Amino acid sequence: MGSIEAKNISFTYPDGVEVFKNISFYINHHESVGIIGPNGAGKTTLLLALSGLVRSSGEILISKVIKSEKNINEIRKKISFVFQNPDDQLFMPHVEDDISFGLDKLGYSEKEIRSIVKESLRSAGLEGFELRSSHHLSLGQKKRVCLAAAFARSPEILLLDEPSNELDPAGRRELIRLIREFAGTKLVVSHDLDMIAEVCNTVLILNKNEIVASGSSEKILSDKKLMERNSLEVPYKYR
Amino acid sequence: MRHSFWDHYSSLNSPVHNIPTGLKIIFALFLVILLTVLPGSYISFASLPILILLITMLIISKVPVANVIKRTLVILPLVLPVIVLNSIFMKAGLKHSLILSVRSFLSIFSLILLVSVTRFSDIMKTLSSWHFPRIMIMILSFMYRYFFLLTGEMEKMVRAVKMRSGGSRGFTLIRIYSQILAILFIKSYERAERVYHAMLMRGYDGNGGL
Repeated sequence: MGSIEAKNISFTYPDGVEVFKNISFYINHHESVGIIGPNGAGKTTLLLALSGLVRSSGEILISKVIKSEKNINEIRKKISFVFQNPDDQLFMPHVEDDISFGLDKLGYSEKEIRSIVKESLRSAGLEGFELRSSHHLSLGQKKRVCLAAAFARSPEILLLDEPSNELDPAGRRELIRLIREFAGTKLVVSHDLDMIAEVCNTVLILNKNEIVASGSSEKILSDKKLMERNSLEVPYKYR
Repeated sequence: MRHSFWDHYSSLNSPVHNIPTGLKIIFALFLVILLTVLPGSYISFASLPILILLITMLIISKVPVANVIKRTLVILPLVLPVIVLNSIFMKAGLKHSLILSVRSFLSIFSLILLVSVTRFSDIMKTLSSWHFPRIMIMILSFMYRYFFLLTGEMEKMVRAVKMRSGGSRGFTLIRIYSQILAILFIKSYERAERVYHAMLMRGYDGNGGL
């Protein structure tokens, strides 16, 4: 439950630009993995490929099930994806509509959905936000609504794309707390290496179409030469 | 960046604002239908009482009258060509054109009054409770939600042009703004794609079952 396995996956844009080639990795259930690398390394595209939003070659197994066109909707029930820009994700008129979107497809009754919405908002520290319009919220609140919507689906796997991007320090701390509270498998793409150091126990470095290093967060993030070779910096925690 | 110019005054507190949303929608739609079906000869009698009624409601609601009238005039570019063409090519064209203008102006006025005194989200909720097709509500909500974002993006690009155009004028400026529109179209398309991805990830299967 909640494991991710990629076997020789490759992705090339229609214009011929190769993003990654023959990437393989295994992420155990309940593991928290950070994907780091320079801009344009294909980190976001990798998340899109894992969730079947772009078509990659190779084999992807989610919770030991091979992802295919036929079972993609079933696979997506196990995954929640928090996108980089909350304005892409919060498309409903009210916060409660955004959180409840798609829950009926998971087999919940109306009463259960109402209770899930309430509980998700409470855990994200957004009690009473049900009828607020998401486009009137601050960026930090929008990001928390995105997380609440992701948690509401009780996913096995949580994919996060630059979750702390543009947040103020208080908003960032709150977000880190919420991410840490999630008990399932986490895959976090970010340039915020201090956050990666706090949230993830394993790190993959993606650069020049391949995974150039993988291992425990401490081992990878404290390796100054490795980090600099990949246009990265050692986070404060390991300096 | 925050925008709320569509329903900027909808959060005021007045007797008109406090009328149940359903009643306000029915009233606005009733006026639009009445103005559409009423024979031309009756329009000249009915228009003045309707206008007085709408302005009275506007004054009670504390929404600035000038603001609503200004927004109502957006129909001018649509109505003006019809008036001109009617006047030139039809018998009694001017009379017909005037009646058409009055119908259009009052219809738009009543709808703008509705959105000025009612939160957009309340209108959507009421339509939803009336079992208005969910796909239509989604489209209206998307239009409202993303209109602000696209306006924000447009504003950012216009600001960037102002900072870097070095006071360009005339044809150069027209060329720059046409390019901005093209970029805005591409950005809208890309955003639509990302929103669609977010919908797919939350169970949308493309079969209208939202």
